Amino acid sequence: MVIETVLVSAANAMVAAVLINSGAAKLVSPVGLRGAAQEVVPAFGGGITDGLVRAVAGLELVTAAGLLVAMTRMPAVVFVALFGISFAALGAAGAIRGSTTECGCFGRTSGKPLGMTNFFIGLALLPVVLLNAWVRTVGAEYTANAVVLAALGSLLMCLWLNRRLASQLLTRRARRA
Amino acid sequence: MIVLLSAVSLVLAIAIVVLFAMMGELASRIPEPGPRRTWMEPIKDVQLGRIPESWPPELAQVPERDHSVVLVLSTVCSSCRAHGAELENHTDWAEAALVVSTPVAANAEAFVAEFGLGSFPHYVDEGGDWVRAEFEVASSPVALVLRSGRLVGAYSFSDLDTLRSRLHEQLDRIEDSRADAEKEVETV
Repeated sequence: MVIETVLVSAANAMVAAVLINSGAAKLVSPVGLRGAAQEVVPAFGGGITDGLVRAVAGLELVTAAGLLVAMTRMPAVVFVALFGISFAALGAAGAIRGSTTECGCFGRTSGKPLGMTNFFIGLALLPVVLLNAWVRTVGAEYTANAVVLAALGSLLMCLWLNRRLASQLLTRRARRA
Repeated sequence: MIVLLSAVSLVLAIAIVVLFAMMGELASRIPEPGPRRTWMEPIKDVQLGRIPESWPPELAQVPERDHSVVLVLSTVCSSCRAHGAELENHTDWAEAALVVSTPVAANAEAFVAEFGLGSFPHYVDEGGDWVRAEFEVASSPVALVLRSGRLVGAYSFSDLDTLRSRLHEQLDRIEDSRADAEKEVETV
């Protein structure tokens, strides 16, 4: 039980970190995903609005939070599965269509369109869903472990995604000093 | 107590992530310092020499001209919007025509109206289907160079001033070499 709890808390923390970074980016700047989704799936037409993208971003953040609490873990896993399928589908559509519009999926500094990266991230969420389905019960230490790991994972992922911005800021500071 | 402290650390982490997202958004809106890089680069995987099977009525005059430049702009592409704004300074560009690629036709009409592009021959290409089928072009912005309706070049470019001046240089070089060839024939 202890090993399973640690494994599930680590895996869920990583997923939560992905959802937190993804949700925060879309919440701040929904225009990128709106344009990219319209480009790869023209059938969406004008149906994708900034409000809708921000609502999805909010759902990502709520899902991330739900994943980290033992009581709400299983319902949150359902949404993780949906997000995984959506990311993979949009990524595949972007790769097939040769999308060039920056999606801003993890922030405007990445500058990448919808493509294979999104496809593989979506696929990577699905084994975590299976892991949670396999480990039905977790120990009392699950929530604390998962929350701390998610906080750390989110920060590390944020620094990685924004490494170019961070190095520019640090370089300018060094020059001024 | 541990759970509370963990929750506080998570909230702080989320706040930092949001802060970085905001900084990234601001940074993307600020142009990079230093001399602006200008470029015009050929696009690969385009079928040069191709003559389209059909031209939309809005672009009927393009195959009749000796020299044309068809700009492919998309309503969902931020650099295309920048070029749309630039075109207001190029209303004297007689060889230019536009293909506005869009998921929704109404968006294209709004795009043309917003940037005052009605003076250019323009075609609304829903889903980019026509330009993909005729020229195998699936990206934007792209400049298609045609001679009497035959595709002779496809380029990505940084700005319209650079595109227009380099295309004119190319045209001058072609006309000079043609004039030299005619002189040689006369000499013979």
